[in-house]
Amino acid sequence: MKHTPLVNSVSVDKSLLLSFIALFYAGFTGCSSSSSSSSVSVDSVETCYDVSLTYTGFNKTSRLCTTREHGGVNGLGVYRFLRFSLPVTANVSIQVNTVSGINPSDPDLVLFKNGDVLEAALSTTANSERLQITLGAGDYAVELSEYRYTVESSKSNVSLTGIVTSPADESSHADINLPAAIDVVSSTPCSSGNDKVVSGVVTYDRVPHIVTGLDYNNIIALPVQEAVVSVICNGQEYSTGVTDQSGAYNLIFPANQESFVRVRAQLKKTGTPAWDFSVVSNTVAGKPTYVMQSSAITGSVNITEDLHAESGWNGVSYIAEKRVAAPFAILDSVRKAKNKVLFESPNAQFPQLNINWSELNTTTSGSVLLGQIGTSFFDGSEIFLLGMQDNDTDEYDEHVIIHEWGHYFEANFSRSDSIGGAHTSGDILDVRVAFGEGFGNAFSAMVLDDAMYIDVTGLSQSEGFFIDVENNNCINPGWYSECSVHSILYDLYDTNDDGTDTLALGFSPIYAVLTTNQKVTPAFTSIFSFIQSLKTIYLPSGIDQITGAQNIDPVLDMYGDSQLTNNPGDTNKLPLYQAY
Amino acid sequence: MKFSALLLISVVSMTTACNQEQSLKAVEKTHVHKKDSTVFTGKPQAPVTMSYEFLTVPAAGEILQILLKFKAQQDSEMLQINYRPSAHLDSVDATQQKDFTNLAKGSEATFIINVIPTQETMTYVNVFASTSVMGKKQSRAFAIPVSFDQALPSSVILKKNPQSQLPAGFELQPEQNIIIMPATESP
Repeated sequence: MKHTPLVNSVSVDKSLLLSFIALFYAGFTGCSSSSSSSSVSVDSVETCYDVSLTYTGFNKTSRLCTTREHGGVNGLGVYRFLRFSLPVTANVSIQVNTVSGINPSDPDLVLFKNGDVLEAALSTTANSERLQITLGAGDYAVELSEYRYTVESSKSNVSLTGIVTSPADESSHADINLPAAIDVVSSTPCSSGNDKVVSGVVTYDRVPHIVTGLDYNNIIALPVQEAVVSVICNGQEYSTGVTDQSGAYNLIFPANQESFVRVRAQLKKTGTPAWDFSVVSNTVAGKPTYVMQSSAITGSVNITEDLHAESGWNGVSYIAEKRVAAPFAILDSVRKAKNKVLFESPNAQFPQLNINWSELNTTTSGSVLLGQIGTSFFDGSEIFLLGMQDNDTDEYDEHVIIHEWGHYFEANFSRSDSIGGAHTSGDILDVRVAFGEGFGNAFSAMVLDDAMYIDVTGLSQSEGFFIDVENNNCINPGWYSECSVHSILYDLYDTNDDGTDTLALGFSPIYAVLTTNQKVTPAFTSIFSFIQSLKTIYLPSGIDQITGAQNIDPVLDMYGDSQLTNNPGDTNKLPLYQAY
Repeated sequence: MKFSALLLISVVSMTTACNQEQSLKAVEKTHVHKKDSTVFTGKPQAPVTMSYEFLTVPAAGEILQILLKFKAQQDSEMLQINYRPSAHLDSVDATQQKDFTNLAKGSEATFIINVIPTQETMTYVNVFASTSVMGKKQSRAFAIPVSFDQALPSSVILKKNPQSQLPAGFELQPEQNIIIMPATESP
């Protein structure tokens, strides 16, 4: 049932009016005794506004409503959008006034051009807000939200000792921004008069999946590829290189002096292309990088030194001091994702990235230094991964790692307007979140060419769940569903025709759209901006069938204006953008 | 007068009264909400949240009673809860599992668990929630920190002695900002 705005209520039916009366008596009777922080859950209240856009020769007012009916702060309808095009430079005023719902309300307006926030002069009072700014000709988007719907604290009126949220809040990050404890190395450089060669192969234990758990009976040794490997003598780098595809390395060391072979959990290359990915500990001040190191080598002849990183599994649990493989397993997943992008863009310059992992990282939010990260996530600049055994470990969950790396890719090679937050397959999400998370799932399947996303949890890492990215049977399918997005993207990519999927485009067109049109779209990043762009580059034949299978009307524009029928929930969410 | 018109008048009159009173209470907004540049994008997880409450004060050798409260984010045919105490915690419950069926979106389910801390040191209760929504199973892990009054918070202690956070055999080299882990070598 759609709620018609109150001013138009002469046309609504009895059941709707009774609902309204019930709502006011049950909930808004609180208006006589308290402020907006009454016991009424904000989730049950729709708040509507008149939004006016004014500039020389133009003045238009439209009604927009926000809602928390889909739950979390990133549910569909928490944020509503409007858009306008300016033919010439103009002094623009955007004014929002609350007309119903939460009172006093706190509407927020944010102005965007191609995904970038524009700072405007702002005046604000209870129930209203106004932006004033001079803008050049072009297309603009505006995000409207009700502040009380966008803060997690309003979600629950229950006072409890703790709420397990995810991920760790920003304040908890403050304690990890510590300067590294840098001491001056006062060692003497080793002699280079009589160099010998040390060579070998570097490997790590990969623990494969069995159903939705880890299969410790079938651990395999895989090469540590492209990792930085060095000979260390007197605390200094004597020679350095990277391992090859078989994990092999070949370095010189000074004969008859104590040296070590050190392998960093780091992929690093300078020049063109360039990258620098390190697996670091967030539970030690300074975020040191994990390395594995040999015992001392002191010979006077060429030697072979193979190094292996063990999983540390003893049949019952991990032995902490032998859990060496985890950082290298993570590094290997990152390498695969990096190479997927590198294949499309051989000269790519990857911004530096830390992947934070610790065996203490667990699923409560608090101090990151204690490992209380809440969940695995990307915070806009770094990735954090879970590692506490018998709770949730992600070092062998390649899809999880690459999903988060996909967000790094979006942030640096494409664009994401996602507002983040908790999410799951059947959620009815903000369209920006749905695309970002659906892309993360699909990207992990593309990189691994494995549609089975597995996330292991539980005692002995024996439980968990899977998402079949190839499966088109989504709960609540639509343009607001991360499941629909990953199903569509993977169907566009893969060679397996299923259902309405007859396409096998591979990654190239997807990469092309993400790194060109999607990066500069005037619309917010969504399945609409992506598909519309894809259709301009490639023949649209077959695309509508794939999107149609997810209850998405044929995409004809970047704003989703062509969506006529799939309008979930009790409140009206269409059009997605109010056009001015 | 038609029924719908009567109802409309009722609604409008209530709204008007309500708005008048609320407008008197409306306070000037003193804050400006800036677009947050830090966006956390996490992994998919089961559609359930958990909050908890310590019903007793944590103390070594004493039963610690914890109320777990779960909220379904979607209509769920099944919600299965398991918990496992970490080191320095013993469970005293006969079963560490509880099942709930047919939870509507937004509904809550509660479960009281009983553990005994064996040492007054920071530890966790691991809680696992598995949901089934339209036949699809998903899971989510939660960790409940059990801590005790200490002169300094653990994070402060760790800042002063970062090595204490590392497993035995791992060596922190602050001057190079690395953690050295022992490789298994051959030949």
